[in-house]
Amino acid sequence: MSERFRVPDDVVSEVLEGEAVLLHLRTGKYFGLNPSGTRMWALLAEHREAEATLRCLCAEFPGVAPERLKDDFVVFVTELLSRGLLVRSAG
Amino acid sequence: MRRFRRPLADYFAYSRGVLALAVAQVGIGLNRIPACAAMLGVQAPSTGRASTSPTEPELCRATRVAKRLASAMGPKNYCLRHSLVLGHLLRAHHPTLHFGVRRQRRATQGHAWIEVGGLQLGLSSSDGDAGFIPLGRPS
Repeated sequence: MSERFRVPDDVVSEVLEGEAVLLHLRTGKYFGLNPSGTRMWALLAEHREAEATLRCLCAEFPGVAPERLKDDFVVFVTELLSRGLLVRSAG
Repeated sequence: MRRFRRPLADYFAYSRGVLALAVAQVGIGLNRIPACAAMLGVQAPSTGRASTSPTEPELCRATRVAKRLASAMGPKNYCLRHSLVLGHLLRAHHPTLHFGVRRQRRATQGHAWIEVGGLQLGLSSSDGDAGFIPLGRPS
């Protein structure tokens, strides 16, 4: 079953010149994402589900092997989770 | 009879501002910025409660007091401290705390400011604070 995620209430973001800037309001820390991370972030915020996000990524980057995309996506999500910029959600 | 050099309202504003500054400092230090803002009567952008316009004397006093108190603590987190103190002094008008970013010379800069009664306080080009894009919830 695909994992579901949500952006916590205390995380705000904006895309600046093609790169997302995230702010964790609780800690006051800013985080910058590169263009690939920015796209993953936008898709995650839209779909809130790992499987659907990965499907979109594979469709958007046909030149990249799905396994490579999946690996990068897992690393990205793990990093966001560890920094409290994303949380797992039930249902 | 002793004459006050400042209006009495200034003294009240300073004493309230000092307390707000202490709460802001603790909140920032403990990584509890949203809770600290709520405690000081400053709402988050998503709260959406309509703010009202402060009067000219109220605004001048609050701006003066917040600027002086926030700058006394040094440059680090100045805008956030300033916004929290200013927001607290104007809390009767339901101010909103905003965070924003801008790119300058390839570096990303963060900033905090207050919006009350349609006025953006702490976002003036004369202070070099123009061009910040507000951060929001991802859609």
